[in-house]
Amino acid sequence: MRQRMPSLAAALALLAAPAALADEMYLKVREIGDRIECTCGCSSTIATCNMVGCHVRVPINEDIRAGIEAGRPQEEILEAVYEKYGQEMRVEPRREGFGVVGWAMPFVSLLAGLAAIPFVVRRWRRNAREQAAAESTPARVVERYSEEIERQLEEME
Amino acid sequence: MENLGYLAVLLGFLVSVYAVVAALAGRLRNNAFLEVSAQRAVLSAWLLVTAASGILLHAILTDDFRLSYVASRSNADLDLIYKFAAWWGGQEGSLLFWSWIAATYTFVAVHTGRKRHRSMISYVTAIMAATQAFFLGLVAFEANPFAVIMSGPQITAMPDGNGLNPLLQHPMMAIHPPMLYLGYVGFTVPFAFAMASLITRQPGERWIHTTRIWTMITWLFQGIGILLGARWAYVVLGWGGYWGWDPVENASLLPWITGTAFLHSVMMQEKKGMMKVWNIVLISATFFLCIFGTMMTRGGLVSSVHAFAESEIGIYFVWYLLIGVGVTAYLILSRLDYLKSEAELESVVSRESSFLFNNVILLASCFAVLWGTLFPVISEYVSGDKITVGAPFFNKVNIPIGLFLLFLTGVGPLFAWRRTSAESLRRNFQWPALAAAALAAALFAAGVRHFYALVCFTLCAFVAITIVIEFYRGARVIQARHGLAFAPAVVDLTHRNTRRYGGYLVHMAIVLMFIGFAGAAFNLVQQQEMAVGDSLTAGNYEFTLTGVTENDNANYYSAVAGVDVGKNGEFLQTMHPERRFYHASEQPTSRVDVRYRLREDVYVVYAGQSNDGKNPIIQVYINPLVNWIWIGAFLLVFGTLVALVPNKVRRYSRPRTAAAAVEEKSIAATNA
Repeated sequence: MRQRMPSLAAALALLAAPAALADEMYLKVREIGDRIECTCGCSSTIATCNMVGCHVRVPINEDIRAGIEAGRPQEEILEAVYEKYGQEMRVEPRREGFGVVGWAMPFVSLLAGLAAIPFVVRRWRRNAREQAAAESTPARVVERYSEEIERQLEEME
Repeated sequence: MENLGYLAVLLGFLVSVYAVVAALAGRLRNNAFLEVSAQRAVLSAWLLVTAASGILLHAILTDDFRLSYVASRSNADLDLIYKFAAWWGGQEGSLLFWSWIAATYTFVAVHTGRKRHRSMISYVTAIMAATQAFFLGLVAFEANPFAVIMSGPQITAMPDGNGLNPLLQHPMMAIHPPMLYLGYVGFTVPFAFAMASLITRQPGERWIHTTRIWTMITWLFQGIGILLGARWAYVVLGWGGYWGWDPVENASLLPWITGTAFLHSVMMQEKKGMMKVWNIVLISATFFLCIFGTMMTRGGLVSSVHAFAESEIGIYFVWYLLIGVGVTAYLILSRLDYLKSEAELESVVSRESSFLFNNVILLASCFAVLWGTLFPVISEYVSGDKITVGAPFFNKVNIPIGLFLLFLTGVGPLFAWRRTSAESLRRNFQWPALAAAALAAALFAAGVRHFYALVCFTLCAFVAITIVIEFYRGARVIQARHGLAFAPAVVDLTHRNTRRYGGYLVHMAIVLMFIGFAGAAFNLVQQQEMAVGDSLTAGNYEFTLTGVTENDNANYYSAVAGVDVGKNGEFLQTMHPERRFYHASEQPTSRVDVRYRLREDVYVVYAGQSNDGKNPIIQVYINPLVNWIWIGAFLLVFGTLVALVPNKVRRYSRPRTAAAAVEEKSIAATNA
């Protein structure tokens, strides 16, 4: 057990390392910048734009940093950026109007699917009971096993 | 030669149409002559498309810039491998390449299945030849790669070609498109078998076996294609990432997700005779999503950095999809009696239910990606406001769904068929759950506060431990019976049920990839204009520019920076990011240098020159854990290949001795 301890410590260090790397302000700026489309032509967000000295990214990052230092909430900083630099910088549907449908649909479909499972399971169980009552050995099952026997006999030959 | 090439395409199209007609007429009239004729037409079509492809390749390799396609996609000084890649580097050539793969698949599927599936092979032939004819028709009438821009004896010299897009001049790009196409086109085969079985109301489950094997092969190709694309983006595009949720990237992911759902739910049909309608719908959806993805890439439906130039061919895809989906829906609805489930379910806590959950989550994920991809088009149609939907939306929607799926990856395989007892639940989940909880606590104590990353690492530990325990228990039983060492026992165990244990290896691969995905939460990036001797810091690393070397060759000019990398004051190595300028296309591109480590990659980019042109601008990224994605990719390929190997012990064969029966029973008990 004593011999295993160093490897366990190394594994934990491996996973914990990223936390030590990340500076809190940096992560906050990046998180907000990731929700703003960079319009310099790079097809990236402000967080991932890698254009040298980008005339769009640099001032926006400064605004974001200033907003964070002033203690403003994330959504407020974002709205200020959209207002100042243009609504086309949104990378997500708005949380109003048709945008709500955009956000909701994936989760509605997931919930609808999950909600359908109990009904499907109940139907399967009911069908199984009805089938069992109707015939002791269903024809389809017999057919399937007959085919399997035939297949194995063929292989034996 | 170009006339011969075009003639071969035209004849290939006509022969494919003949194959459709002959196969259907032969089957409906019970005319064996016509059926065999259709099968031979498939071979002829393959030979014709191969000839056309050979002629185009010859034109590219011999720099025949009279051809518009060659002039726009190649140049004289292009490396041989990239000249070859120019075949699929543009719209016209890639459609011919697609047609060639389709013809090859059709030939192989028809000629390997004609005896085993005699009663339905003509429908398989017709469906596959119809798809092939569709693409050959596009090549022949809308996207001719043999069009010439100049001809005649008076031409004595030709200008050099424009060259291949510099971003595509990378070894990864020579493999990525063929793999992706093998996946996209390959899904035609399982779809054709599924439809043919539906039309002929095939008895038994033999066709399912064929369909599953073909699905697994094409799923593997598609998966390799997607991962190679991600890897190419990582090492070529220079933005430090590997997946940008671009519409074309999403298009390749959609059929892979539904294919994954099919590979799981088809087990229900094989083992229990259940979910037949669902499986037919899934394999059909997979095929049509492949066609839909092709339309997105080529039809100008959505804007993407990966898409080919907008063209008029999108409308043909729309018609193909409408007709295809309509006919498929009719066939399914008209044969619901044939698809009736042999339902039997004892408990909600069972393997059957876990497959249902798995399918619902996979489909929800697929829908979320599709919805986000199409939302700009939908929102413009509904509200007149075209909203860009980027990575943040996809991440927000898909991360929770993905984590739920990861959880099911660990839980699902541990449920028994029919019913899982409380004792079995306790036995299977106790240790993985405790270990995962301990890891979560340790990570939290170590300072990890990113919620999704914390949940992801915890679930990864849970799933990995469940898989390791599965292998351990099974191998221990074999060890005890045969006196084998542990490693040979693991191999023997895997060989006894390759599908099951190959599947576990794929699940482990997914775990490793999720570790890599979670690492992205902690990425760092810094950028600085640097003169020789200047330094910049990112995290614990220091970077010092030591010099810039310039080179020029016929294909490109390049500047290579020397960057010394140190960590905590200790020198590690000198890295060499490169900036190239391609003469033919007049485009600049960056070649990143990456220091790969399991813990984190150090990723250095020569991003450009300062405004006065004197100094390079160096960008550095610290990307924690990203290599686990590529390690997972290798394991995914290995696991799928293992799953394709036939079992050592036939599942239905009777044990030859009483001892063998006892042994199999004990392995089954440990696996339950």
